[in-house]
Amino acid sequence: MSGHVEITERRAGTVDIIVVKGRLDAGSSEKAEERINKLLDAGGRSLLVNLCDLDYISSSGLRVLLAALKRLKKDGGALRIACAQPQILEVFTMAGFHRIFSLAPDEAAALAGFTAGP
Amino acid sequence: MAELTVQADLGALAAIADFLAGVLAGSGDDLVFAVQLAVDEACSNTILYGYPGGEAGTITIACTMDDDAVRVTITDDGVPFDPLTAPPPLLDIPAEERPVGGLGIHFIRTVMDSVAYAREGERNVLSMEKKRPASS
Repeated sequence: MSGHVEITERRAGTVDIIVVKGRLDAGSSEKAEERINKLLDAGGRSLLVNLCDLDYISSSGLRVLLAALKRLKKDGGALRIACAQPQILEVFTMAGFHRIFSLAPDEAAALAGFTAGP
Repeated sequence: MAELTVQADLGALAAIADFLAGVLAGSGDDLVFAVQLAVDEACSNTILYGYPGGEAGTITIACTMDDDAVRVTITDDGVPFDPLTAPPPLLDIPAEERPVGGLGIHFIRTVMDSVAYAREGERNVLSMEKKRPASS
């Protein structure tokens, strides 16, 4: 079972946008990890993760995002997160992840962050 | 008392969340989310690490709510494991240096008001309580 997550991808210029909807838990985070790794394997260095319609995230989901961030930082890339809902943000905060991730209120602001540089 | 028994399989996590949402309906989105997170993290640990031989297992989640608190008891037949012995995670070090793991238990401790572990016979029993916000 994939665990009630829906993942779609698109591109805006040089930025890969990955939209994660539904639940990012231990049952579905592997699927998200595969999709993100595929983008990075293809040479993507600017990754925008859109969480506008993500209802739930657990530590498993955070681990996937952290692994992507580590990999991108090592390769000189960047990862930005767009519009996490209040309860999702609370999970980021509990983990201390609000200090290590770039969190933008919406996708446009997250995109603008890439052109503005780190 | 509402009770749900599932196979110890990651595919059951969404059903566990739905079960809790049903039992806790009307208690506020933040409370539901917090309890879902704590139970999800505990059950994820059990499913991932409780059955190292790949044997089939079952997890039972019992949940009650009154005016004062939500109480959840998670019982599993996995290997003996006290999650409360896990050390706290290092939250203030750079992303690149962070070890993976440890966060789930940290979330459980953060969102619940009390957590207790017991080994009863062949079963792990994790009891958690979260006080409800005063209704005044």
